[in-house]
Amino acid sequence: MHTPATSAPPSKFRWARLRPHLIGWACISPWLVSFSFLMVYPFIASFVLSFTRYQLVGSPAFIGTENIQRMLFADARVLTSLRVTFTYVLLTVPAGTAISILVALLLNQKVRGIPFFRTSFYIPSVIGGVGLALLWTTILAQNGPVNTALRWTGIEGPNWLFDTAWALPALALKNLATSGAAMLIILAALQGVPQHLYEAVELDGGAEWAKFQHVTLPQISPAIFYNLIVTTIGVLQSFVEAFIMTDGGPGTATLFYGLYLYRQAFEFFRMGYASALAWLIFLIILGLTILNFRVARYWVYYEAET
Amino acid sequence: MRNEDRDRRRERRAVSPTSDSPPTSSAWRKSIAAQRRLRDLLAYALLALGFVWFIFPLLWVVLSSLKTFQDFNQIPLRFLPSELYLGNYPRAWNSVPFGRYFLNTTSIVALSVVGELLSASLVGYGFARLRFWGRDLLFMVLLSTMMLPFWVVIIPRFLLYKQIGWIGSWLPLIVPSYFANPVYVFLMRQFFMTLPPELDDAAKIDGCHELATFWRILLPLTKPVLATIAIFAFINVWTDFLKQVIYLSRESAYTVAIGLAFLRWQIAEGDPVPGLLMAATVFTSLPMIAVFFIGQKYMVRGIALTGRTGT
Repeated sequence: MHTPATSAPPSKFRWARLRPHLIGWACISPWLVSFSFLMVYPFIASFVLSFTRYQLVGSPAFIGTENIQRMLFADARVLTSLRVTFTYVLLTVPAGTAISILVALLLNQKVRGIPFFRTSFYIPSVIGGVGLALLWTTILAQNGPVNTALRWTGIEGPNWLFDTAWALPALALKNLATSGAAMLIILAALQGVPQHLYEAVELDGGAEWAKFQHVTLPQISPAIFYNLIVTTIGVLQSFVEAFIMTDGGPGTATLFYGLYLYRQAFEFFRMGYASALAWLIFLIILGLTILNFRVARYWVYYEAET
Repeated sequence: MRNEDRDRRRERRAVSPTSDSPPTSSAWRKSIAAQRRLRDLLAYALLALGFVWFIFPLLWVVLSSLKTFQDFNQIPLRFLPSELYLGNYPRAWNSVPFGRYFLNTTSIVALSVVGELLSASLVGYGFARLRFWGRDLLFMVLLSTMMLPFWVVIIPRFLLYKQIGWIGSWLPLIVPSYFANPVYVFLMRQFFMTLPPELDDAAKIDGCHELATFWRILLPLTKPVLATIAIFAFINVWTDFLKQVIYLSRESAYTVAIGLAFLRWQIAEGDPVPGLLMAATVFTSLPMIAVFFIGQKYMVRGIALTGRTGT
């Protein structure tokens, strides 16, 4: 092994060995650029900015932990927006997950017309963004279809988006009607469940519920878990709904953390303080994700582990 | 002997109910069929409920866009418009310069999609088909960046773009797409992994350079994934609002999403015509719905594979 290699001219030998590595790195270089300049650098820079005062004029002034103290102890809005955001997570994530599992199970039935239903269930998720927010603004209007439907059952509905108690649940309702991606992910997992497992339950005389409990649920639990993580992270960063539909109001009823951060950064241009806020939500998301993974050991089933 | 006979008789008796009596068996089969029918019926009932839950809002928007102002103020609310009033559409189109915004958004979408396709396929090829130092570690890093909350990077990114004078232009929305979105890289890599390694070997024997192998032999095979990425990128740019509202400051550079938000605030400050807003929602959503219908197959597959919609 050593002799033929050393007999070759050293420079050529080195080039031949280096070449595949260089080509590999060249191929992934576009990502290395964005990773360095749009991920690593901003990630560190926002940490450093957290200890400064910077209003886009002059250069950032180091102020120690002033931002952090203000954020944690003096600024009541931070706690309010965190409470609003977590309430929103609790209103949307568990119910949204349950709905997507149910809808996916439904779409996995062997009846006619499933492609049609799958398409129509997913369409609201495609529209997304501002359009969807405007759409729901009219649906939830005082004299809108939701309240009309409630009136049929004899209930006088609230003026959803302008009522302190109902604005947040109203946004949650909008969120629940657009959980298309989650539904498709779970549907894909359902279609991947091996049929022979169901046959095994049938041989043991198990009924439908037994099949669901002992085969379906464990088999799709990784997909459910993944969804839970992704939607929780996504919902914690919500912005557009509040920005377009309620502007955080009435009062602070729908003041999402994302909206508060946006205002600090891009309306008041407090870049230092907003960076501290960004790092706080990052740490919260990180902690929550780690916790989720810890808890997952008790309910997520992975084939390879057995 | 007698004992044996008795046993046989007993055996026959034990077997008879299931094998020798057709009436009971067919009844059983009938009950299974009935159970099935009941199950299907229940499934359809629930599917119909889901249909109303998901589709009604869209139907409502279309109906509302055809209503006159008077229709909105009636109590109880009218479900159908009193007449087929099309006036909301031209009024919405002209109340904000949507023509220009459509052109702007289309340009941004086109330029971004090209960038996403080129960069993600090249990087995906590197991670899937080449061996080099640090590859697996770097791929793990790439996967973990998919979970990084955007709020933690958005402020320094803004300051960076401001420093190089990009704020106000489309550049912060377009240029990053030429530097490989991790979700799309992941999609490309997973697909490249499924192609037989013999392809690369054969190309190598024919004296093909790695990049030529990528461009001439492997890339043409990845059309389905390229379609998925193109659709994801299209929809993500079209529905994005946060980045556009942060980076675009010149009125001439605005996008459809910002135009829509403008219309909303105009209405909030007076001029209360919900029909106008709904008409604008309809025509700004049409491109996405069209793309979805054209590329639904690719999109569904992409979501199933990556577990997300590309952001």
